[in-house]
Amino acid sequence: MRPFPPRWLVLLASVVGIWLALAGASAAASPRPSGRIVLTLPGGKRGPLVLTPGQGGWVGTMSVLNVGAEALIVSRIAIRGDEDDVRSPSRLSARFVDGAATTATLAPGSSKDIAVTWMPDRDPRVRQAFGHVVVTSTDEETGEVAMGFRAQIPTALGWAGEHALSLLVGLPLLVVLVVGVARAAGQRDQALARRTAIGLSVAQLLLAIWAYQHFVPDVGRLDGNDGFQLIERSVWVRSIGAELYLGVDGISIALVLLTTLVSLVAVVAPQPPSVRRDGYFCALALLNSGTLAALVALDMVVLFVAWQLVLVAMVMLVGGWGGARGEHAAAKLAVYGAIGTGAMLAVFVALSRASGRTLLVDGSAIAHTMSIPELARTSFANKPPILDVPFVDAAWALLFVAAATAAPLVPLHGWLPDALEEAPGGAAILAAGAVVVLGPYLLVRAGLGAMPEGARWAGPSLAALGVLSVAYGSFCAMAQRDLRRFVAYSTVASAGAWLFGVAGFTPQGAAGAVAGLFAHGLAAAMLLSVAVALEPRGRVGEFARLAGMAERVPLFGLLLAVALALSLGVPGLAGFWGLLLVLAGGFSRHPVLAVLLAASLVASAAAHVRVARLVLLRVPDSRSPRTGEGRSTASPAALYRPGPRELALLASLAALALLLGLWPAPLLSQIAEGARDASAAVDPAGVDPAMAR
Amino acid sequence: MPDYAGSLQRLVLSRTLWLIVVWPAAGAMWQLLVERRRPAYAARRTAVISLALALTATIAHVVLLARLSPGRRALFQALGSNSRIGQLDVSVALWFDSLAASASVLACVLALGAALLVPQRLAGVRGWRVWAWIHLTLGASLVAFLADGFVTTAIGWSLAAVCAAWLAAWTDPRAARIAATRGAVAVAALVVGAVAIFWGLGGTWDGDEFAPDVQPAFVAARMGSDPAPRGVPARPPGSDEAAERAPGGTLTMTGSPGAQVFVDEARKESLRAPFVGVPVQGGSHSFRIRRGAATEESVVPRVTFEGGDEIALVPLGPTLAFRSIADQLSLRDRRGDAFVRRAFEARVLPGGMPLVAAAFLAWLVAAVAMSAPPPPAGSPRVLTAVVCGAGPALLGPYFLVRVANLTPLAPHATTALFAVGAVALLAAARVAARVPGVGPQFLAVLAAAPVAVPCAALGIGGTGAYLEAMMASGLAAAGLHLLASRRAAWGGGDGTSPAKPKRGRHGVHERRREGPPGELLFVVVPERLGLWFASMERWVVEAVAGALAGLARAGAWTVATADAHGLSKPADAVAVRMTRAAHRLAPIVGGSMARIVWTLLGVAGFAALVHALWPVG
Repeated sequence: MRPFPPRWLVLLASVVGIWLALAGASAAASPRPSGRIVLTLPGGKRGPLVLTPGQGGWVGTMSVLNVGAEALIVSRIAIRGDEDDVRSPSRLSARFVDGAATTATLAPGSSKDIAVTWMPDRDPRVRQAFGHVVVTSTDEETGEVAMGFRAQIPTALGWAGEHALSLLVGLPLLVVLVVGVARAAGQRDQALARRTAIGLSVAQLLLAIWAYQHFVPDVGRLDGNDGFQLIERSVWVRSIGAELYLGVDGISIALVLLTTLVSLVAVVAPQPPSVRRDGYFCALALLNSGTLAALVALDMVVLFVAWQLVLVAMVMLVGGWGGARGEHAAAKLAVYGAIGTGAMLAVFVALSRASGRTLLVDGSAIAHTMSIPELARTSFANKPPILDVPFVDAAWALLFVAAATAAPLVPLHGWLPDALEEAPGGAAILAAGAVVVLGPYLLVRAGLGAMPEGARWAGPSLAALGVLSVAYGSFCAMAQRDLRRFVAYSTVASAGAWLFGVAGFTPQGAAGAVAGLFAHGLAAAMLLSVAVALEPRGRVGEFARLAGMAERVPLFGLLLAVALALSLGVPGLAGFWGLLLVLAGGFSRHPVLAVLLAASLVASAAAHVRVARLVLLRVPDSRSPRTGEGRSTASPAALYRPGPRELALLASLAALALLLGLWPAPLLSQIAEGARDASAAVDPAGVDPAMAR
Repeated sequence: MPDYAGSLQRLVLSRTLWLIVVWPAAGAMWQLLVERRRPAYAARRTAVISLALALTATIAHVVLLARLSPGRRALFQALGSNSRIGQLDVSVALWFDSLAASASVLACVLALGAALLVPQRLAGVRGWRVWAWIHLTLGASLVAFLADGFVTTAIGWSLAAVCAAWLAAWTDPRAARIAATRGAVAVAALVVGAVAIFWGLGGTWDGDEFAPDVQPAFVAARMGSDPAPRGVPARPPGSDEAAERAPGGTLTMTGSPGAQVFVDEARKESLRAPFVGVPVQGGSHSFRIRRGAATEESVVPRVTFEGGDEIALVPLGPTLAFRSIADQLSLRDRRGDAFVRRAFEARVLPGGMPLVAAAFLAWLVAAVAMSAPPPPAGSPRVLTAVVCGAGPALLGPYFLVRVANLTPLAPHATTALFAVGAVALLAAARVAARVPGVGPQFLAVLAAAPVAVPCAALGIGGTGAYLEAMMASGLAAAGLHLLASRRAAWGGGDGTSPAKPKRGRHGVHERRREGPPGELLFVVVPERLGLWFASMERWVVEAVAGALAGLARAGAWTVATADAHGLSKPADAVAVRMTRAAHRLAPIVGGSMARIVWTLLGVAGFAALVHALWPVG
């Protein structure tokens, strides 16, 4: 037995003891500041900081607090973003209230106020400021902290102006509330639902006109706020980084106006002969609301929810209030919708997971974002592949499938002819005039904006598919005997042209696609209004039943002719600008396909002229028209009694089409900057021509 | 002294050019809205008044034009600043030079002559319709004649095509469809050619890759032949003080209507395009130009004004305006190099075809499709023939004259133009052979003369020859039309309702009554030629056209059938199963699927609302 431990053990213990002693001495020699930083708002409110009018601009104050045991050194206070990554409008500053410095040392438990100031011009173009103040300190554990802020220059409408987009989305839903209350009170007042729907649609249109007029056209991405206006942003589901993030740029504001216009036409259109009309107006309101929400959503979760709302509302309208084959059409729509939904969900999840750390509007950090403008800052080029397919290519293909089902593009267009044929009048008008807008919009917003690498990869295929859709849709339209199905296939053809414009990656192409969408919305609303207006007198869509309109109802016939010309893109009407810009925008990148597109447009012209010949010029058959399920046996003469309501609606749409055809500035000026930003995301700025030469 | 110079078009700004176009448009609206409810004689009276006003407005502008100095005989009016998408200016502008003046006067004179001389009974019961048509056709022609660019031309053409289809539709829907399709072909081809030229003038091509110009560019160019007198070196730096004391010059900018120009360091807009001959102090000045939304400011630095220089700010790059194309092509640098022209000439499409030649090919198709053949059968023939000869038929060749400054860049363009003229004559002979009645046959050939002869003249002798041929053939044709209309003994009586023809081997014949002297030359020979061409057309042209139409129909049927039974079939099958499943499921879950969906929606909506108001996580 050994009385002492072995020598080597003593030696080891001594070394460890000395090392520990040295380590302790070293720590004592250079004490690490362990202050802990917290940003707070006055009154303990949660972010974002709201800037209010103050001296020389818009001012807000927040506090930086040291809750640690030791001193905290704040080394930098700055507005998030720089010249290469513009996030907020210019003339913003953040500094300590006393001393105007951006550095300070805070004792434990002490705090210091930070003033955030925005000094916009006297007549500012940018009327909102959203952003983050980033504070860097010696608190390495917490790292950089941020506080969101927002400022809003008051509008003429006050609170309503600041929440214009929410109101636009929410107004139609009041119909649901009114109907619900009425039902709870034991009433099923059909007229009340209709009157409420019309009144709310008028209010919605007026608000949309205000927003359109309030929108400043030459504000772009470099002006801050990612180029969006009328922004509303708040945290929704923090755990997945979802925000209620709404905003419009030049592209979406035009489509918002179109949707509200078409919605009014849809609710004014004759209702289906059903006893459940109050439910019909509720579903129509859901469709309207969902479409608008999808157009103004800047967050993928909001966009996805809105997309689903549109799908469900469409299925319900077609299945519940549609024609004899309505259920089948609804089921078919659900099938295509499920394909699109699945693709969209997959791509959104993939994009979010691939995104990096960023901030919510209140300044809290999140690992992955759902914000589309934030995704535009992420490069997906080096992300790991999905099933051996490069990430960007796979994601873009999925996104395209989602867009193609809504657009609708060949070969995912199958739902539209059946849906338009069977849907009740208002739903058909809204679907052909506004819902189809969502597909191209998704491509522009998420496809070009968030995944420019994918857009470049897919460009030639998109252009070719666009031309194919135009030719396919035109030929199919040529073979139709029903006005509703003709509108469906002409929509397929138009969608091809929009796709070709988007695939040009030029400002002209993107603007042409949006202008084309707008004109198509007007044309589809007019054409379907004609069909729907005649339906109360018998289910009519067949050309044979409409024959001879020019002779029987010259004014109605003239308006139908205008609608056909608008749909075709005849110069002098609004539709021309879309086609011209699409061709001009796409030619630079795909000259051969542009020529093929022009040739396909001649086929489209032949289809439109055929309809004009059959409906307007053909002498009606004196025999009783073909009758069938859901078809009326009324004589042709009884069908031609358009009321003043239909005439007034169609005449106002025709006047708008003519006005925009001769003076497109009100439409194109609003679109220009958004189109430029969209194309610039994919294609870097071109060269100076003088330099090039 | 600017670095560039060129024979730029000198213009005088006008505020009244729109009056030329507005009278026919107002007349048409009046006929459509008011005269349709009034007696026929009233319709004619108001038609004559509005046509006379259009002619007066045109002649007044011709007088204005004649009083200008020879170098500036052109009036220009921008109809609103409109909008700009990147480099694409979508403004609508009117341009009244000697060419436009000649064509406009011809059109107005003939339309008014027709209205005055043709008997009232030609119009028939619906007189207002004929007059409205004449007004619209004249308005369309005038818009196209006064067009300053492809966009305005397209608007005029489409209106003319609509008029042609409308006219044909009165009696023959098939002819209306043909006329409308032809108009669509014309406008599509016009736009394709225009788009090719648009991108040819800007950006850079590297193989198939094209880098577009995103930002506009401007240069300052001296209006004249040389940028600087020979032997005068460029101004050395530091000599600006002397230049400031010297007399200045004038500044002109007629491109990019609506563009704001800031002089030197000015913060507020100094000038707004278009402007002509604005005096500028001597010395060196810089200009910042803002063209509109979605474009950055362009800077033209250090332009020295001295000695009464006329300097223009010329947009450089893609454009859809005729004048702007001509101005750019005439630009030369200090070495005398027409750099834009050279670069433009070198542009080729994928496949090696010169871009200008491709554009001309498209435009020839457009011109041929647009130049309406003689009036459709069965229409109020004489009246419409006169207006057709004066207006729409001229549109095709007229457009080719407008872009004639590009012909030197396109190989064999003149030969093709001549060929187009010859083909137009052949087509007229073909149509003449199919029209019943000797008089209408004669008229058919005459109606083609304003198209064919000027086109051939343009191919052989250029713009000058075209102008003379257009005026001579147009007036001669119209005079003979009117003469024929007064001598109702020819062919179809008054020309509105042709005599019932007797069937013959090649379509229709009728026994001729006595005609005026020269019948052999003017009637028999054309008729025989026409019959010969008709025979040829039956076997060749009609066979090809018929085959194409049949192919289109078959294609439409095939694609539609494939769509219904091919592409949509899988979804249809799934939909059928889903519907069945829903029906089976309903009794099990105790309610309809719609009710379940409504309930789920309500719950989801409520949850979303609560979540929005009280965010969690």
